[in-house]
Amino acid sequence: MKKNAKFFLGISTVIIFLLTTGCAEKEEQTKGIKVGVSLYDAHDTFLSELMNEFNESITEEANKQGVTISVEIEDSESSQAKQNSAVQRLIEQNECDVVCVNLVDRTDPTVIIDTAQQHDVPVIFFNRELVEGDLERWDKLYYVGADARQSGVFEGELAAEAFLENKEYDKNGDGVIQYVMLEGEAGHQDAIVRTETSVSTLIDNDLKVDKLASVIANWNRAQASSKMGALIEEYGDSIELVLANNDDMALGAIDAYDSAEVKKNKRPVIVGIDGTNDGKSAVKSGDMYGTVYNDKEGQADAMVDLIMALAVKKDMSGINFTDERYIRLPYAKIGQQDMH
Amino acid sequence: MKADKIIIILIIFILAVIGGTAAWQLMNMSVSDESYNVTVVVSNSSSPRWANFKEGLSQGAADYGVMLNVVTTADFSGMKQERNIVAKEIENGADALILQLFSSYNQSEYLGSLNLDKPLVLVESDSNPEDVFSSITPDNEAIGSKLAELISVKAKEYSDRKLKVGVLAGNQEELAMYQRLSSFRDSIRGKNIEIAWQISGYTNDDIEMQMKNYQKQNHADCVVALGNDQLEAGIDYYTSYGNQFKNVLYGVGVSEKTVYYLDNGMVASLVVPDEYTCGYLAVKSVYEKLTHAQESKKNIQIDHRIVDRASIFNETDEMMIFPRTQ
Amino acid sequence: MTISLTFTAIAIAMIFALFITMYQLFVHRDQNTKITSAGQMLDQTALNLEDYLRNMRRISDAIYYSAIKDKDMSEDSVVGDMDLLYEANIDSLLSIAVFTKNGELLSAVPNSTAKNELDVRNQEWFKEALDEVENLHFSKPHIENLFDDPAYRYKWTISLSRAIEITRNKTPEVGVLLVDMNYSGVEEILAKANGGNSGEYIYLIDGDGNIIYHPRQRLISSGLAEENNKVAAAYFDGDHTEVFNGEKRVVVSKSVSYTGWKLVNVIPDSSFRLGIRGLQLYAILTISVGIAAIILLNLFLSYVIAHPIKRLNDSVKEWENGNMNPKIYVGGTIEVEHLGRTLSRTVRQIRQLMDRIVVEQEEKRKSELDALQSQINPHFLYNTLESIIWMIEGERYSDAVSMVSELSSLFRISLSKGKTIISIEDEIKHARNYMNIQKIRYKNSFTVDFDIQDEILKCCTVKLIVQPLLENAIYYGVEGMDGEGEITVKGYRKDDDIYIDVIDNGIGIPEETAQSLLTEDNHIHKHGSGVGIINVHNRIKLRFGEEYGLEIESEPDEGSMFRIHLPYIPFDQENQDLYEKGGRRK
Repeated sequence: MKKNAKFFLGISTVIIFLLTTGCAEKEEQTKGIKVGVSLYDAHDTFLSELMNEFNESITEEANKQGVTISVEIEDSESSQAKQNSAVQRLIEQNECDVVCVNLVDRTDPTVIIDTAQQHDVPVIFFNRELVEGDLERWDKLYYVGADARQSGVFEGELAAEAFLENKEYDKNGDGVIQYVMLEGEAGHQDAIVRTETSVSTLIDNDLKVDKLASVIANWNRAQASSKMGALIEEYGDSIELVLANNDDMALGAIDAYDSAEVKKNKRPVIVGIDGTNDGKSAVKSGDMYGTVYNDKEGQADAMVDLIMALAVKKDMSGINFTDERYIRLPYAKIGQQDMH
Repeated sequence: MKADKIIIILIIFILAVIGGTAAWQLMNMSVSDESYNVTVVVSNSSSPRWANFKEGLSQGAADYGVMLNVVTTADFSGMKQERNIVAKEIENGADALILQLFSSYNQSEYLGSLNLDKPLVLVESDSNPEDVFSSITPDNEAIGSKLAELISVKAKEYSDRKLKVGVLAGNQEELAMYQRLSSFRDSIRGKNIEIAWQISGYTNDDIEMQMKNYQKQNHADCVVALGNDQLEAGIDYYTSYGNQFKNVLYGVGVSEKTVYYLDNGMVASLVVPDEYTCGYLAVKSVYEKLTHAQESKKNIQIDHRIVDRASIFNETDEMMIFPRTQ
Repeated sequence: MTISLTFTAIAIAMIFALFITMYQLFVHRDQNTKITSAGQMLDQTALNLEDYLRNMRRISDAIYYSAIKDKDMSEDSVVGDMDLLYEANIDSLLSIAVFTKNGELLSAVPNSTAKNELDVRNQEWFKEALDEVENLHFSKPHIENLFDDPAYRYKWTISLSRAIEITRNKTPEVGVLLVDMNYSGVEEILAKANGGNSGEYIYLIDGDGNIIYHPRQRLISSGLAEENNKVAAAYFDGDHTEVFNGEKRVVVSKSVSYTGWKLVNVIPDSSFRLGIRGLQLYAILTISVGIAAIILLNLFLSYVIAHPIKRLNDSVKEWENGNMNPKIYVGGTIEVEHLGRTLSRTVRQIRQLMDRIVVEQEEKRKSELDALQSQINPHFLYNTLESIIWMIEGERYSDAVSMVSELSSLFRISLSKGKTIISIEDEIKHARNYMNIQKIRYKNSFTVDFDIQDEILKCCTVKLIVQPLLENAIYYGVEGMDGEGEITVKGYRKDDDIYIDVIDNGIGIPEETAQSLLTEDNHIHKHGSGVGIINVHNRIKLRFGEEYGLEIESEPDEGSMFRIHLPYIPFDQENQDLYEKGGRRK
């Protein structure tokens, strides 16, 4: 009888042991790298071109490093709520190693930062810059982009150059530049900075300006075209300069002139920013006076370098930060002479 | 030991086993069991042609609780590239694969040489009855002959001469493209149609340039593109001359760009394979293999629709072309 | 074993009963909670949706009443006001547009570039607005097909359309105001409600059962999934049970005001089961552990209580079966141990009492028999004394003297200083004395022959055992005989035994009488001397053991033999004292 009791005790001990150790953790596997990308709007021309560069660059880099990479791109369709849940899904369910976020609302990255910090996933913000205080919240937050101020300055310089070199652009010859401003999204930092600096650069170049109108076209070619169409109707020939916050809107302005069937020599100087492929061909064809090249190759490469440093090499020493955890790439002016 | 003692020990042992199993499952429930890792390898994964396919994949992944890993790739330039990626992914712990093969020549031997012991589903390829993998593909031959049919309607407008057609055939090593082309060629035979030129190859980067050259030599009246990327290249070619071209393109397309130019009139007819279903069923099929469930079907053929300008926005086509997703 | 079996069975039954009741209770409650919370979730979602849609109607109202109504569209631009409203609601709006009743686009924000060959007259929202002018109409979700967007942007929308009065060139006419809501606004509200992964989901249908939102709508549209939406359109608000595609499920429906839309929350049966799966497993775990514990507990209890009681019971059984000195089990729990100890004490006491009774009984019998041994027939003494008197009168003095001396020797041996154990020599001497007296009395009508081996003379015997046999021999063997009686006394040793045979040639004793002589209950003696025989037999047995005593052999008309059987015990002081005290030889 005593033997039996011991036997049972033994069995129960074994069972308890099995139960408690059964759920021991599995060995961690070396997995391919997963990168999550959240875009504020996948239809944005500059962004889709940037993403093409990014994909090319990252597959190349993956080949070089001998790893497989899976990039998952989520479109937030201009909804911060959608972006938040997309980033949460990327981090929590898809277990991404690095997340790249192109903020919808640059003032509201809290949910994303908190989620990332909770799961210790580094975040690379790009193109749409968040305020410095938010980037200081955690040491694994990075920003890749360009200096909005510089783009405005270059845009202003391009326009100033046009008017200084060729007086004919001042169609009414009053020595004052009548201009129309096509602005990006309301409240967007880039839009504000570009709007403000491009005009102030003109003034700094001793040019007199007269703002005919400033309309918001949300970075959008179709909207810009609609709004520009209305402006053409209103101001007709008196528009001497169209300053657009980006190429898409500049192209929209060209579309509006096309559909208004205004002859090319009657059109104003149109300047854009970003240097998208369509923008560059418009510059080449002379529809657009110039654009400011936003270094998408450089930004894509910088992002890929950062991702590789964070996820593969685990070594940040090879990265050239402009400031701590900021990588800013310079803009470049593209005028007609650069296209030939 | 007496018989009744043996019985008691047996009973307690059985009870312990039952209790242990229950406890095990109870714990597994809270831990939420390890999901399967399914790797998807397709050529040029970020191409918009895969957008609907990926939507289908993610819906399938959500429904069947698998972890998807769509490897980011550029256009494949050879088998070796794909092979490396597959090998690496298996090393990384992939439980199953969904593959678009770069080349379908000797596909069984090729897959055999990969030494895969993982479930495998091919998209845009066939599998033979003796193969262990299954495949999901649109009816490529039907697509080819359908395109031929659409072209021959246009050919009727040309009474004085043959309609000259340029063909953007894509990667002809891939079975789907090969089947589309051969079926297309077979179906235009004897009709008032002549193939002016044909461009095939695995990258789509320089199609526009090639087209310009070919068009200079032998101008085609319209262009047939057998794949989405080829159709987009064709669109790029025509748009570089402006938006005045109407009904010059026929082809297979799923991306918003191709739809836009269908809407705009440049593309006359669009053959849209149900890529969403393809993606969804690929995951389902892989899951069935992984769980050794009764497989519904080995080779699945997905639908395709002929969409023209008038029908883009009718209810059924709308849903297929633009998946409404969360 | 029976106790523990019963106990186990009852305990198991109780565990089962308890769990089944609890389980049913819990499942029921869980189901109710689920349905209630689904209802609440639905109410909340409906509220959000209604809020959202009301907001859309407000926008439509605002545009119509504040921007369009008072303006002459041919002179004033309404775009500025529309733009303001659009920018304020940019997240939830796709576009705002005004059409004439012929489908001509008057103005639109943010994109006013209509597609080539756009004909809105075939579009559903347009027809509905003009069909029923007093209401606002929410369309089914569709792709917005109005404006040319070179970014290839195609967006899902729900169109809110209404007939309006527009003024052109001072002439009022009917027009259509379209507010295209971003479908993702509705989607977001419903996706949020569909967050759980328990198998429950919410979908939205319009009054005809067309799906507006469904978490798996793409699968439904391609036939990979199915939904009971057409039937659900007819449901009243509240919960319903339906069987769809072979699965039982509970659906809760809730109407969204104004639109005729219906929110449907589907709770499949499996999701109930999913919730209680843990409970089931837990129940199985607890029940199996419980049963195992009970079995182990019973084994332990039986080891501690039942087992000692069983061993105690076995001891008692042994005792019952006649073992007067059983080994009583003492052990187990305190109570059982106490029981065993008490029982064993009792057994010991009973045994002691019984032993004492046996000893006392023996003592009593010995003293009784001892008293009997000295009972010399008074007739003998009387006759002897009469013979002596007769001799003296006949002046046969020497005979008288010899008679008296024989008598005195007889009595001396009879008394033997009160001892019971004497030597055989003395016993035989006593027998001779007796026979000498009797011979005189019976005038030598018989002869006596003593043949005693010398080696047995110095051995122990109970006194006065031969004399009663001789007396008996005289009565039975000699008295009634015609011829001369012969009495022989033989004493000899065989191994460790001594035999003294008293043989006569008298009439013999009938077989049945001979046997009854040695049984105690027989007191029917014709001559009254039977008492003497049984007395001798018992006294020998009492002193030396059951195997010793008397044996009787008799042949009618041939004579009888009485054999005394004694152990061989040399006569000395020690042995005499030992047997005197009555101890049997062990």
